[in-house]
Parts: sequence; C-alpha cells; structure tokens
Amino acid sequence: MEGSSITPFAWGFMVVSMGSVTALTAYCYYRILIVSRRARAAERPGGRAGAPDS
Amino acid sequence: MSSHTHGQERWATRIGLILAMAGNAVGLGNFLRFPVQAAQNGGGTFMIPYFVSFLLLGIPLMWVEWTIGRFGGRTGHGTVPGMFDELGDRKRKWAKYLGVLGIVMPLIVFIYYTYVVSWMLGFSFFSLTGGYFGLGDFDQVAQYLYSYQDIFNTSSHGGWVAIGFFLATIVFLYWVLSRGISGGIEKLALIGMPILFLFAFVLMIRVLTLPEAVATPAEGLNFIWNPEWTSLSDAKVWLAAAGQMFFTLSLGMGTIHTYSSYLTEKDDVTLTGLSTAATNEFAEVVLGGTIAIPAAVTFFGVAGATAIAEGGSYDLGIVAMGVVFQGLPGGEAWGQLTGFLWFFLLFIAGITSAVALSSPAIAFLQEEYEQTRKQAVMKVMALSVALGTLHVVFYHRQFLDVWDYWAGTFGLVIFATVEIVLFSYIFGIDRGWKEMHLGADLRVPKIYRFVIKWVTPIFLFVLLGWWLVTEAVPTLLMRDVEDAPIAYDPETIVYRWFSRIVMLGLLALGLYMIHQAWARKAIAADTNSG
Repeated sequence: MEGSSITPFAWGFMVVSMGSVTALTAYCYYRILIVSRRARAAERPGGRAGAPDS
Repeated sequence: MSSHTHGQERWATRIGLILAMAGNAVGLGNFLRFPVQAAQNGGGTFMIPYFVSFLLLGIPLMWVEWTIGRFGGRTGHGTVPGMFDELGDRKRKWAKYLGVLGIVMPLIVFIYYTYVVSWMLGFSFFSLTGGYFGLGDFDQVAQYLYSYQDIFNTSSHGGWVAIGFFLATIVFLYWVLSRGISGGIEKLALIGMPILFLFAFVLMIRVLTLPEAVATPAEGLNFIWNPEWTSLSDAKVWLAAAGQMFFTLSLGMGTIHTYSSYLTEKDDVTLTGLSTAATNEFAEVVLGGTIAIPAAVTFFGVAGATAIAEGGSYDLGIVAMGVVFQGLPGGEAWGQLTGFLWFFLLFIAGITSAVALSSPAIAFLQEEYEQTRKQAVMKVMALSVALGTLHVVFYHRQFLDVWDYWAGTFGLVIFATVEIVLFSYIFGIDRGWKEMHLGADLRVPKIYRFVIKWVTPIFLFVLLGWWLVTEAVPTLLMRDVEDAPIAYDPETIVYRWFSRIVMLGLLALGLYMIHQAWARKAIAADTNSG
C-alpha cells in the first residue's frame, strides 16, 4: 500500500479497531472450544470434568 | 406457568444457537449502514464513541437480554410481556403491557425490513441476468433502482417485479419459520452464515486488490478510518455511534429474548452472548468496513464517494456498487458474478435477521393463543403481506421511512431503557447478576455489575433525552418536512400521518391481545382452583 494513500493515523485506527474485534472473536471461540472439550471429556465413561471455568 | 408449546422447542447445538443469534445481529446494517455512518461521522474518530458504546451499551444490554430471555423461557414465556411480568414477580400489572414493545416493534421492523431484503433478492437476480449491466453511469443505475422501488415508475421495471420478489421472500420465510427452531431457523443459520462469511471474504479480497481507477482502495480505507478530531466533541457523532450499536446488535427489539428463551438454566448465556456480539462486530468492522466504501472510492474518488455516502445506504450499497460491478476488470461475466455475491450476501444477512424479527410475534401467538407453529407463522405472514403491500405501494410517500424512524431507531432506545430499569431496579441487580451466572462458562467482570446498574441506564436516559429534544419532537411535529430546503408535497404529510396511524393501530392491537391473554389466564386459573 502506498504511504501517501493512507495516513499513519488512519492505518493505526484501522489496525487497532480490526485487531481488537478479531482478538475478541478469537478469544470467545477459543473459550467455547475449551468448554466443549471439557464437557465431552466429562461425558465419556470414567471421564471427569475440569475445574469450573471462571 | 402457561401451558405453552414454547417449552417443547430447543436449540439442537451450541454453534447453531450462536450462528442463529449472530444471524439475527448480522444484517444489512453491518454492510450498508456501518460504512456510511463511519464515513459521515468523522471516519476513524467515529470508532471511539462506537467502541465506548459497545462496551457500555452493547455488551451489557446483550447480557441483560440473554438473561431475561432465558429466565422468561424457564418460567414459561418466550416473549417479552410474560418476561416483564415475571421480572415484576407478577405483582406489577403494568409490566406486561410495557412488553408490547417487544412484540409489536420487531413485527413493524420485520414488515418493512422484509421488503428491503426482497430488493436484495431482486438485485441478485438482476446481477446474474445482467439486468442493470450496460447502464454505465450512476444516474442511470439510480433510475433503475428507483423504478424498482416505485411501482408506479415503470421506466425500467413493471410494477409487479417488486411485488413478485417481496412475495417470494415472504414464501421463503414461511418455509423456514414453519419448520421450527432447530429444523428451520437453526438450519438456515448453519448453512447461511458460513456462506455469508465466505462471500464477504471473497468480496473483501476482490475490493482490496482492485487496480487504481479514479483512486485506490487504500484511499477508500483512508476515507473511512482517517480521524477528524473535531467531530469527537460533536454530540451527533456520539448519538450516531450509539444508534448504530442498537441497530447492529439487534438490541431493544425483543428478538434476543425470544431466541434465548429456548435455553435451559444449564445453558450458558455469558460466553455465548459475548460470542455473538463479537461475531457481529467482526462482520461489521472488519468485513463491512472493507467492501462498499473502498470500492466506491476506487471508482468515484473521495469527493464522489462522499456525495454518495451522504445520499444514504441504498445509494452506496445498490447504485454505486451496481456501477462498480460493471467496471470490474475481467469482463461482464465476472462483474455479474461479483454483483450476485454482493447482493446475495446482503440477502442472506437480511433474511437471517428477518427470521429473528418475526419470532416474537409467532411465539406470542403460540403461547398465549395456543396456536400451532404453522398457524402462528401463517397469521404473521398474512399480516406482513397485507401491511407490507402498503410499503410497496406507498414507498415513494416515505411510508417506510416513518416506520424505520419510530420503530427501527427511536423505539429501540425506549425499549432498552425500559428493560434495563426493570432488570436492575424492579427485578434487582442482585437477582439479575445471579440469574446471569447460572450455567455460565464465563464469569462477567464485576465492574459490569456497576455498569448495568448505573452506567448503562444513565447513558440510555441521556441518549433518549437528547434524541427527544433534537430529533423526535421536531420529527413528530413534521418540522423536518416543513423546513426542508426543497418544496415538499403537502400530501407527504398526509401519508406520513397515515403511516403513523397504522403503526399506532398495531400497538393498540398488541396491547389488546396482551390484555385478553392475561384475562383468559386469570379465568383458567380461577376454574382450576375452583
């Protein structure tokens, strides 16, 4: 991308804004994955649920 | 607890629930409204009040609505009147009547929104068949759109075209909705949402790799994200950011309540609610901000795109994009395919939201009037065709604009203010906080207890007061029409009042039906106890 076409401020705002929502989304789905794995492990015969996720 | 059919329906999978809730939130607002709002309100600076609104309004209200919904479902209610009644421990008779907002407002929005969504189906078809290809400039494509929207303007389309696509959209909605929660709505989300994200990614990459025309895509990004610091002190920018937050997350509508009422108390609402909010923000900030405006700037330049953005979402999303698709390198076939991807993406985004908007009215008929799902869906669709026809016929008389302003903008803030006060002060923040954490997979930071009790309600009251003074009262008194810089058609005021009276009629019908439903319950309770 040419330096003159997007200002450093605009670039910074865009990266921070997009990065924040992407990180939040990734965090949420990561947590769901962890919780789902724990739940599946607990359902298996002899399985044991992990510590409460808080 | 009412003898309701509601309790027999459940979400089949967690991912299905998240995608259905995300489908409710991700709509036309993400791809059309957000970039226009950002461009009109200070570019990158808009994102500051936008994120403040997300943290202080969006996230707390999302958790509150999920919690009220699940609590209502547990006590036998899938719609807001019953939920508000339960929040008031059934001792406050007025509470259920306030719940009318959670049925009638989404229904009002559903009716006009479905008509707008049907345009996207129409333009998907016109893209594939090359209907608007060959109309090289902006004005010609604009006339093509206006002829479609106004059935009396037959310069490009017969009047039946808009009606046909509207009815096709209604039939599709009937088919999805009549199949139930897991068999219809969840399956639509499981299929539709991945397609939506795939199309959006393809379009984003296509736009960002466009060769320079009048400008470059990078200049388009600069147009959206370059901050104008002076706008940060402008109250209108803060109002615009807060309004966008309601619209994009589908807050203050009653749809989240109905969807989450199909959960059990073992089901989490904190992590799942946050996930749907985050998914929506990803679709809006990352994808929505990277398609329409950068494409428009590339083809029309910054000055041209500014003028287009001032013209509103449809000028940008339909007309300007219609010109862009005709000018894409690679030939007409590629342009037609890209146009189809864009409009069908908007159609999917809209249809998943429309499904949610109709759900409160359907659930209300099922529970309170013991209708089967198919009967309830048929009645809601029949009413929507009848009143939607008014929008089709009187679109050029601003019929749709009136409904969009009062129900789709102002009404959301009123409803959210009512629900946060009921939740924090009538139900009580202590009980509310405990209820929120039943089955929780994520402990909400304690600061949000303070935010929900104090910050969000104060934010909402300030927002409501400001809106009342600066916009709602002048609009109610028609000053916006009378003071318009161009001469107005006196009949416009007559049609605006007609539009308002139809809305008020729906509100009165909703209040009457709530009254009747509770009267029937009281008689049934007396009979059982006698």
